[in-house]
Amino acid sequence: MGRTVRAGCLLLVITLVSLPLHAERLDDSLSPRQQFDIDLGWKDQYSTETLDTRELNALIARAQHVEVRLNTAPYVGQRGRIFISLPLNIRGAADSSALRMSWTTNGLFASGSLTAGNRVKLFEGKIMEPVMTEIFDMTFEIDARQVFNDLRLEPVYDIEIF
Amino acid sequence: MQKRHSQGLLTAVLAGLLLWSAVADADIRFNLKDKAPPEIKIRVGSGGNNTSTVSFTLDPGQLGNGTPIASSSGPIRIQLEIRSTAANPLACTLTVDSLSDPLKNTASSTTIPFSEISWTADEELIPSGIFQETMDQYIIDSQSLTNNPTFRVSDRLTFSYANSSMIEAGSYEGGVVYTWAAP
Repeated sequence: MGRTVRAGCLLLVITLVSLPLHAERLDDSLSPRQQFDIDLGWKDQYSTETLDTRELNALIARAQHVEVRLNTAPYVGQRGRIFISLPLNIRGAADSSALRMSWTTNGLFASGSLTAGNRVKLFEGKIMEPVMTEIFDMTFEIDARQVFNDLRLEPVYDIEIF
Repeated sequence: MQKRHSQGLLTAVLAGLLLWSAVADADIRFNLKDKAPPEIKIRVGSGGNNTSTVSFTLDPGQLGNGTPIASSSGPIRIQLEIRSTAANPLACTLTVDSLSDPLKNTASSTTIPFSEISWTADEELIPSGIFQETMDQYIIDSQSLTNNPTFRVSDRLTFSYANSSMIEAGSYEGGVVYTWAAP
């Protein structure tokens, strides 16, 4: 039994370090649309003769006017940092590092870009509203050699209070 | 007592894991289809609607002496391209038709078989060979070139006339057509 407990403790430690210290997951289930089915296309479609291997393999997909509503009610009046992250492993991709997600916004959150397994700050300041709403124009880029199945991406939002 | 404590700790660990698992589900999901529009391209010589010309010039004294004659117009570049995803790779084959438009004397009906003409590839990406006077002579396929679902290869072919038999003097013109096709 002692061995089992030690294994359980190890598992718990691994689980805890998968979220940054003091970060709490934000609920985005208030967002009006939950599923976006989008098609991949070639990033460069013409004059392919001048493209190098990376450019020749570059696929792109876009999702526009993605309305994200984050439940920030527990944090109103506090100062916080809101982050967006992508899981390390993207279902359907042989090498998730070959995927990049970038976005532009209407200005409440920062525009930016992100690769799988990483985290980028969207907002820093006082939380004023119980629901923070932003419109994202998302762009996804991936190498065609890494697309082995339909890709499923689920960005995660979390908050740090300071 | 020790045993009970251990069980309690394990239960707490498992509860923690279940809780984490429950909140780890994201709500907004982007589903990207694994099929990009497949593309195949072939370019022979200058490409587009242009027909590339290969010329051989023989002096009367050289006719049929068995000494091969290199083309006087330089090599021709052939470029092949495929774009697909790893989930839906394309298999393409390069063939050539050297039967439909034979080398014909412009002043008479005399012909020279295309099997008199061979080529040497600079890099052997496209294998060197000889025309076989068929409509669908196999040259190479995509799987022989690479395992990548997206690629572009290019090679330069230098053509040679075998000059193996006496022919009627004059100017001969004919054409071959390369086809890069996926089933």
